[in-house]
Amino acid sequence: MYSTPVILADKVLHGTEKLNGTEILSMTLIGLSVVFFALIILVVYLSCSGVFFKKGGNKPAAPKKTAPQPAAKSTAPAKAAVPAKPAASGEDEEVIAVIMAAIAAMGAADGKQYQLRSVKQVTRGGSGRNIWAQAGVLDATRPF
Amino acid sequence: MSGVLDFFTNTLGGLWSDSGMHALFAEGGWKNLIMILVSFVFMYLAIAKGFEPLLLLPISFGMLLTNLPMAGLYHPDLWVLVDGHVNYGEVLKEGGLLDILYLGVKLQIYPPLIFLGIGCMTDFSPLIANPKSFLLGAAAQGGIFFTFVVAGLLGFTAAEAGSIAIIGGADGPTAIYVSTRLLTGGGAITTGNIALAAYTYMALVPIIQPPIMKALTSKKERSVKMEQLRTVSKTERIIFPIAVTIIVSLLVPSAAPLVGMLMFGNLLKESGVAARLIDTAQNALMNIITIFLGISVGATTKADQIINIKFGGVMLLGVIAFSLGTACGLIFGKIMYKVTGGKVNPLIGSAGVSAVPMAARISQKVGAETDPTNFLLMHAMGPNVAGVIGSAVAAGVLLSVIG
Repeated sequence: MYSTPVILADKVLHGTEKLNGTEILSMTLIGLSVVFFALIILVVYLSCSGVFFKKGGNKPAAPKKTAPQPAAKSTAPAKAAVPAKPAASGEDEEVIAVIMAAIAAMGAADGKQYQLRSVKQVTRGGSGRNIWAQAGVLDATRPF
Repeated sequence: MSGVLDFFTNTLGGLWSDSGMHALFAEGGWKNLIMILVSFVFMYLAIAKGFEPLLLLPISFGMLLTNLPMAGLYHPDLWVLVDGHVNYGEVLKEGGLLDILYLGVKLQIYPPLIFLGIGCMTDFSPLIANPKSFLLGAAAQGGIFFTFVVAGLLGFTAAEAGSIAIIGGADGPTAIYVSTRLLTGGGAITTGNIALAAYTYMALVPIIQPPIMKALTSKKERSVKMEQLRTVSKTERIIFPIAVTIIVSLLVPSAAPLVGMLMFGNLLKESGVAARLIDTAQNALMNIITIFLGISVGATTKADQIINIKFGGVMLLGVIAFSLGTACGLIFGKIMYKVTGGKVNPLIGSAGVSAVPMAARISQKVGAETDPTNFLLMHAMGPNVAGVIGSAVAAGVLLSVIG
């Protein structure tokens, strides 16, 4: 089917014959050595390319200033479920709109109105993940 | 009137002697009966217990079909080598449906195509972000080579020992690929035996691995929280499959069909420009090949090939291979734990046996049992996908050395 493979060791073992101790030991050593050698080369390649991409082409965007903001007071009563002036300048307005929509939906259920005063990034000491990443990880590992 | 009666009884007798029922109760028919019952057990495991149902169900049904006497779906005698070659003309002329489907196994078409689909579904980012994972993927292949030692000492031939050992790679298509190439037919061990053992133990990974993981690691080691992986750029993810194909194929050319297809599938995925091809490769094509592969491999489990002492040996050595692979990965993980000053959780080492993604999920599960806030899943995915590449390389070595 495929072109004859380049013979690594010139087919040193005959398939139909039983093995002696020397052949068994040689095969094991050859096998482990080749597997480790091939994968170590891949480690070296990836380490080099990783350094290159971290240095050059993969510069992270300037870190966003995430100064702590006042905690979200989403339960503060207000006349309308509309956002007050977004407290965190630079926050994604779409995200805030989604949060507002969720709060408005919650208010519609119990007949109350809420106002979103601020959005604050919470950094959890333990995992170092934001809440969305945390939710994603929990979702992926839930069966266990 | 008596002539009609004679004709009737003779015809009826002829029909009975040609029927499968007669063969089932004739000499040796009990073996077929046992195999049919065994196929029911595997169907039960696949349907009721969810053990690798996508492959175990077609395999078990192939086992049922091939052991129905006189059905003529598969003929093992057609696959015995004559002067070192299969007589494919005879297969096309005399073969049944499953003989024809088995051509794709014998010609090593199905396993690489399965790898194409797997490549489309695999995210190598955890491996690219943490290249040292490759070492754990390599260490876990110790299960293959140490099982080769045990099989050799037990008196199996080189081809049989290689085919049994590859079960330790915990990768079904690779096991089928290697055993098809090495086993020449006519022997006591077939590709079907190897596939059955491989898929049975892959389904039992959640039972086999945790006791070994707990026995070989301390609570302190299992509690290690690893640093979050860096983000991998799209360019890196695109270059990776091309580089791996070139490096592995140049080093171990026999691994090129498996690794090449795996990486081709991954390139399709990462390129982001071949949505239609990805859709076909990981859905329709994968499903078709899975059906063909499963049912035709199941067909090779003829009663004579299964009900013998050697198949018992295959099953025993299969579980030894899985256990040794897990242990080797863990031991290397412990070495990395020491070398890095406790930054690597040794539990991710057991994911170095392929069995994607189940082995990685077991690492996550055992880690979370020690500390519920510890999330090892993505860290374990690195060795897990490295194990796929590692077992393909190990397969290439076996094929290159054993003639």
